[in-house]
Amino acid sequence: MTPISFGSSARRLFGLFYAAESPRPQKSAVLFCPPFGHEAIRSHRLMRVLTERLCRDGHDVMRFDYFGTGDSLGDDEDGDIAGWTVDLRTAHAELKRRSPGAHVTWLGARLGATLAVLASQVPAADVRRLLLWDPIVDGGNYLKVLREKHVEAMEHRYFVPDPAWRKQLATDALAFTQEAIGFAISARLREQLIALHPDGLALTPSADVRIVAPSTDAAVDAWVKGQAAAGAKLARVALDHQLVWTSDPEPYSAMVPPEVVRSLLQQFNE
Amino acid sequence: MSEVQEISALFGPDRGLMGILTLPAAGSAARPVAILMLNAGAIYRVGPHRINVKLARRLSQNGFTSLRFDLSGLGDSRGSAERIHYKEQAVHDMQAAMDHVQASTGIDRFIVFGICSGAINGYELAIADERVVGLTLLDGFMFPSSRTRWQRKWHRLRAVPVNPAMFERTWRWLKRKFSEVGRPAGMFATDSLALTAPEFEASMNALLSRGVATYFIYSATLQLVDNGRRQLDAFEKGSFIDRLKYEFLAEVDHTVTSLAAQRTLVNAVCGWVGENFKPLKE
Repeated sequence: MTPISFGSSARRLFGLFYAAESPRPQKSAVLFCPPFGHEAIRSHRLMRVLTERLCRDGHDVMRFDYFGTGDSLGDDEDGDIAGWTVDLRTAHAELKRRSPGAHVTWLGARLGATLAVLASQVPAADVRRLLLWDPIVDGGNYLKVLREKHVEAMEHRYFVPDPAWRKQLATDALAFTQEAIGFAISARLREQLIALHPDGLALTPSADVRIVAPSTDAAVDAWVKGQAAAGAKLARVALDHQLVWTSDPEPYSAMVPPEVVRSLLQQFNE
Repeated sequence: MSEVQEISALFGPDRGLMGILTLPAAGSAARPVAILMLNAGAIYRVGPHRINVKLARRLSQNGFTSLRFDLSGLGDSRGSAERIHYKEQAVHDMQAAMDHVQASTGIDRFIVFGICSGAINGYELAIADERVVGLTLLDGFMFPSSRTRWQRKWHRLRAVPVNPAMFERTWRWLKRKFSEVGRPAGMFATDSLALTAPEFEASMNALLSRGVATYFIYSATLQLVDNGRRQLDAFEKGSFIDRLKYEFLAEVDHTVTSLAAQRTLVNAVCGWVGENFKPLKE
């Protein structure tokens, strides 16, 4: 594992590069596109386990933090969808530099999967495969879920929660949209999330796309159907898992659900 | 605000430990002490809701160096090859972290910032290594009197009608109560109860006599109100508790969830370390 720092001085990003233990005949590299906010911290352990397994299976792997997240420079308030999409492409260029000639897969989770779709829409993006796990296809609905889960998290965290939180949630549509479970949401990010709609998530025809999501995710199903009709090369994989994205990692919810590891790794062998 | 300077590092045996060194911001008056920031439970080095990053960068503006890092097996650090108890391993790891800061910056005095299990680890390090001159611990050690415990139950009971989390919490408590009898404490448990009050008092007396500046912070996850050092009120006035700073922050919860809680905690920690550890030339 090599810690790396890359990107412009004004937008310095932190990453970790892992060289494959025994590279495959056709070199392969995987770029992880992490989720937003609490979900990124929540899934860090899982991403590490996946990274180690992929390296063992012969892939170079790179994980990184978008600007204003994790160990990258910037504050919560600096984060937005347009900027993070650029960060993803910057990380891709860095991975290509470290892993020349490799076929690159982007493995995106939650909002990271959505960012992967958006970043791949640029013609210059030479990503071979998109592996999208639990993608967010409706930003407005995601924001709604986040504000509800934020209040739930607060209720669990305080010895005696403030009953006003739930009242505010019910009566004020804008309440709890400035922060979600420990992370600020800037006005710009909020607007971008509200504007995020399945229609804007056209899949690039040049990449193989695998969408892994619970069998009950109707929003993803509708989006997949639309993209398939538009001619995208995609496969829909059902994965019902026990990871609760918005919960604390322990002790009440699994950190590395084996069914997730199994299913995601399997996508690299099909 | 000056641009923050951060350097990622692999250190310790076989360079298996991963951390980020944050240097004092350009133009700030450098302080002769560095801050170690520890994992809280299984959360990786950025801390709950990235609090370690936020704190490190604010401290950097005030002239402090800090290292946030992952203990063996946590976050991005490799598991250790040593066959020792995880608590002993944590002390070895923290000492390796201090060695790294010392080799990189020359600083040889340390304050430990820890939340929950991180607080317990910080205390263990302070006992084991005299380079530790300060402890700032959130929700570390609790030795409440029976009066305080009853008061907690009363406050919780009164809140049931307005507390949607209460039913789930009670169900989990019952499950724990009946399924974990005899189960050893896990590595993320704040097993301060394994430490007896006299043992804790003796250790704290030793640390305070050594001049270790100590700041215990308690969150509103533990108690509704705390107007009298309630988490340590099993100890009498006149004991070691009069020689440390105890603060209950009603706005802060155990994992600093709201942005307001984060600001309060960062301000409190920065204020305390700033007051207790002055720049070289002031």
